[in-house]
Amino acid sequence: MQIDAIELNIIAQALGCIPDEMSLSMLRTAYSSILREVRDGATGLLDAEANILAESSLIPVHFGGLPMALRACLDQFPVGDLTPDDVFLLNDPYSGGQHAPDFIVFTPLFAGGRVVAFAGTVAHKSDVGSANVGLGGGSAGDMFGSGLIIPPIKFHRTRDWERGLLQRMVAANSRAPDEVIGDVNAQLAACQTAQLRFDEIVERFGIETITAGGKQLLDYSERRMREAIRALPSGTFYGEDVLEADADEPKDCVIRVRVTVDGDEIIVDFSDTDGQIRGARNASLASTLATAYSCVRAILRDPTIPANSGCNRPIKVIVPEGSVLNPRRPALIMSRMNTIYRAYDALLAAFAQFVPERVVAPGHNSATGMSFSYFNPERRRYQIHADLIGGGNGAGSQNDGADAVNGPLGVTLNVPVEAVENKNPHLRVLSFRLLPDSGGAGRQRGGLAVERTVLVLADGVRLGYYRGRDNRPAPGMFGGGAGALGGCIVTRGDTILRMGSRESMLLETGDVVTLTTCGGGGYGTPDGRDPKRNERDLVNGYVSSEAGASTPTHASVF
Amino acid sequence: MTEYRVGVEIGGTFTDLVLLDERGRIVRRAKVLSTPRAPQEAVFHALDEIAGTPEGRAAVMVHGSTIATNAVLERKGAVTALLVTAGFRDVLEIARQEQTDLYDLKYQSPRPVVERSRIVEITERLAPDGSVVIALDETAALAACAKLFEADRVQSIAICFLHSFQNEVHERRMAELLRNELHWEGAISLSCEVLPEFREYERASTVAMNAYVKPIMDGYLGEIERNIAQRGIRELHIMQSNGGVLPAAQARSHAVRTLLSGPAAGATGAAYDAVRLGLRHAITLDMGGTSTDVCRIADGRIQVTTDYRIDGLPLRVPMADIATVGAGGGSLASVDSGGMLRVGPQSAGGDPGPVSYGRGGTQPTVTDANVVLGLIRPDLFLGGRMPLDVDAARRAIGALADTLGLSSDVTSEGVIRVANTSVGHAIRAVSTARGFDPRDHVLFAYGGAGPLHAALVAEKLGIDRVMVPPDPGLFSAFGLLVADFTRDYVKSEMCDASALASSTVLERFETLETSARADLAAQISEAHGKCTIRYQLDLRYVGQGFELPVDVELEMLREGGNAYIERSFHAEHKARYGHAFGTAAIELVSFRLTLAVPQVIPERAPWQAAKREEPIQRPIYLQGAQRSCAFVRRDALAAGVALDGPAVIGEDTATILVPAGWRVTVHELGHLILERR
Repeated sequence: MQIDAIELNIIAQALGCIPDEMSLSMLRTAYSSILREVRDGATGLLDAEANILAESSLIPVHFGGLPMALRACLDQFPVGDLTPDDVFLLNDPYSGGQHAPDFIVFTPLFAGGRVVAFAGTVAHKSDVGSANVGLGGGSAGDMFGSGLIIPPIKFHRTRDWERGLLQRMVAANSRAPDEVIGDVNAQLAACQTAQLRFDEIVERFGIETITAGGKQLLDYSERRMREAIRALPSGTFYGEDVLEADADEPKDCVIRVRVTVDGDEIIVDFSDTDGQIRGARNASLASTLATAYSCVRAILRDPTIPANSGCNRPIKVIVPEGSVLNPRRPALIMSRMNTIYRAYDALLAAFAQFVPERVVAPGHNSATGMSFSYFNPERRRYQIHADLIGGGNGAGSQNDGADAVNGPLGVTLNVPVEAVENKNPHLRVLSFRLLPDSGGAGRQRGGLAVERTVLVLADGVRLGYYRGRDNRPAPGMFGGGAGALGGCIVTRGDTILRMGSRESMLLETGDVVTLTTCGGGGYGTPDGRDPKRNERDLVNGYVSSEAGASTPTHASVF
Repeated sequence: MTEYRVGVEIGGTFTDLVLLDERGRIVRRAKVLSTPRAPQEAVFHALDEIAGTPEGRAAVMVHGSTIATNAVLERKGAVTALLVTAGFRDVLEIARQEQTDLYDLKYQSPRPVVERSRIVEITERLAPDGSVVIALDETAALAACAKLFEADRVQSIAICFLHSFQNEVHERRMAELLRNELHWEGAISLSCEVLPEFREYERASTVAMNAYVKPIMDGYLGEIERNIAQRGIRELHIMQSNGGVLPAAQARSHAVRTLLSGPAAGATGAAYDAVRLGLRHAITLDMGGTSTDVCRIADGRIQVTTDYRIDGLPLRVPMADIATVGAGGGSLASVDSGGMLRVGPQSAGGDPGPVSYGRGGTQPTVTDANVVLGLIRPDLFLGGRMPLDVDAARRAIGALADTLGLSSDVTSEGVIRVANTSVGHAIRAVSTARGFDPRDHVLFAYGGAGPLHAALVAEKLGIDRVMVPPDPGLFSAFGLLVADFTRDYVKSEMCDASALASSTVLERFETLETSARADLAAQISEAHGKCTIRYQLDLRYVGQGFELPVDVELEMLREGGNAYIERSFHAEHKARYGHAFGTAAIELVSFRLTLAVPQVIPERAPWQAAKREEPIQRPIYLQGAQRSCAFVRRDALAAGVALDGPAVIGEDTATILVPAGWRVTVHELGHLILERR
């Protein structure tokens, strides 16, 4: 069935708004702050062959894995056996999952009595019973320390979920059962929305047209991507970045990538990347793929190309098994964000050699997590407050990096201070501010990092913390300076306790936790900077002195 | 109340005027070019057009302006300072650390209206329950402000302290200090007055914007008032974003409430007409040259939202819940490199405009497609003052058709269908996405292009009734004249709803009501009629991050207590999201109260046809076929007349299309009612 240019637009619009309505439904009914305020989740519509037809604009990193995850489910449970009451669920990072806290839920979408598509949702769970409460913390030796592992399973919503066996099992394995169950319900609500909207478009267009239209939409995005790739210069360029050693892994781990543009195709080859590491920072294959796809899309930068699996066809990603970007079971996969950010920066370094005007200097490009877990003795419940704090973006050829944003792979929001304090009477936020001089100097300045300080008002609060950069700041590009490094300290009376890159600590009343994030790298040499913009930086206190504006070295905060 | 009333609405291209006589009839109309650099000029030009006539002596003017919006969009507001709790100087810049475009490496955050150098940290602190943790350090605060005033010519001050919605003490004391100790005479905006609502960034953004536009609004209204006083107009009322009007004095101190008044005016007019015509639910369709606005009306009330951003900056005052898409008469059509037909969001606007305007446009637009299909009569466009170049439109569409390998007719209809699909999605955004079925609504169409597209849009959504008011091209100006006086009040107070005594809820509402009535008495004479009050609670399940406003009938609350509140919330949640958690605990976030005083307006006068004229038949292409279509002027159709489609009804400011399969009847008030047969 051939769909003409007119119908193609109309079907693209119809399919495109389903994931957005799904995410609206999911966020509005979500329970945990990590989902409702931070928006760590994603929604998408997939065809029966597990291609993404349309996706919502939440977090890029979640999308790369959805097709893999759905295929893993379909391998176990043939599509012909599904009923409208069936739900797929998984979090296993070796079956298309991201890491244990990210629950992936699919429901089949029926039309004319058969499955023609799937609704897919991902949502980060505040606790799935890992060895440590909250974020960060020491690591178990293998994947079994990361909490409840759910392989691809099929369950009946009415029988197994509403107070059923599965719901009880999941609840029993979490320190925050209400939040986890509430968030899965929000995911199911999003899937329900998808079925309703899908019914409507089937009624409007008919199954045949929708199916054919979906296929042609994938082809269309592929064509547009290939055309965009052809506009890049051909060649092979190399980039690398380093995942620094930590308490679990004594050696630095180098991520190496070779990017080849060959006509209308791009090959992203991580073959020479170092092997899997000890500790929690191995990345799942799904998150590595998502990183490569996101970076290429950002470099090509054409918002008029509908985001679907067709976009990824001209992008070949090679990730050797057993590497830090595609480890072997049962290696622990947990704090993967900071690993894939290094892969992202390696990609930026490679692209900088082809298309210097399209790239930006690396930004803070890390996930800085901070959690306060408190076992409330009266309610006999854990209260977990988790927040991802942003830093500075890298500068581009024509723009300063944005200050205090979350980063290209995890576009998440912070929790309002008034919400933090209202929900957690044992915490008082003392400050939340930009850090002057933290952006790398340059013709274009790197974005500023932030600082948050929190006073603890009760004993027994456990701080969880992780960061992405230890000693290697976000580098500048083309002569720009590096951004500042971040860190975390606990002030207890006269003592200052330094937090390691992934650590947790039991706090006492009166402790003050100070967390800073990293600044972004600068672009071009500082002497080329427009004096008017330097002056504005000074007046507004983004830099504290002329020196701050022109020192190409990073200002380390701790 | 029997006096002439004039409504003047400033739009992007035109400034419109409508004059109602004491019997509610539209007696004069004017459409003049807007003057963006000094918008008041166009207002005076429009008033000049009715000056000197006996009916030109209006007693009241209701005005909708873009002055505050433009001040924000162009960052031409007052030099504003913001005082914040120590530690939170960067509340505006850090915002929610959101990057709204995922794949934009060069992303730039929206620029706050207050420069960082003018944000002053004040030592003070409240706990979440409002108790004082650190007292206001008055000496240090005064010194810091004095220092800022010395360095900078500040024109307006905003104050936003943490948790101030729970306790106003420090914000009020700070304002006192500025007045008494520093002799500050300029504007002060307090967050506890402008928006006593939870979430510090959104509150700070809103109060900063109020401070930013307040002096601009003040100067602008002063100029308008002086001018209209000379014309004998005694009262000036200003349109707000929520669809109600405020006396000019109140609009001055709550300038932020006028930021999105334009689209609200038309929606309010539609709500008024919906009640007159006995419609329960309607969706407005206001299609202009570059975009289309839609808004849902339920039980005669426009739907409002507090989740809105202007230029990326949140503004949490109630405003008409309007969805906008970049599809209008001037939207450009093209085939992209992947072989998909695209329509908009780029627009030819008014200049050069569509190809058929013959003013230099070369790329085909939606209007050109309508011309090629034969739906717009080239000789009668804008009352015949602007003949259209049909051949040029054909050539432009023909080139597009060649690229697609389709006929010109099929291509033209395709352009219309793509544009209509975008409009359909805007309608879904305010209906299905909010849990409402569009088929339960009448589509109420106005704006230059709305009535031409409405029936086709309706058909796709399964809506079988379309309503087109008289003078659709001037409808926003009409809406100004029928809007109620309204004021919204909110007060956050977070607590467990089940532990809350209904007497406490009643008490809180009483407090809000007392201050609302005091405001009312100070501003509006009783002559305007009886006020109505709407009570709402913002509720959510414990653990959720978003609240739902739920209507509360005080009588039911007294009888039913908490169970009534809980029941209402479960029901609202189910309606909105398709499910409810019957056993989960509910949390109260805010009390809301809306006070409205209806305008006393005479009924719309009965419609009278001006002249008799038989329809003529012309060929059109529509719904996949060549057809013969009846063309008739609207003022030739008497009340009660019915006509089967395909028919095209023309008037000076708009064209109304009745497709095949539809029938139009003329309502006694002049509205055209299109129904699917």
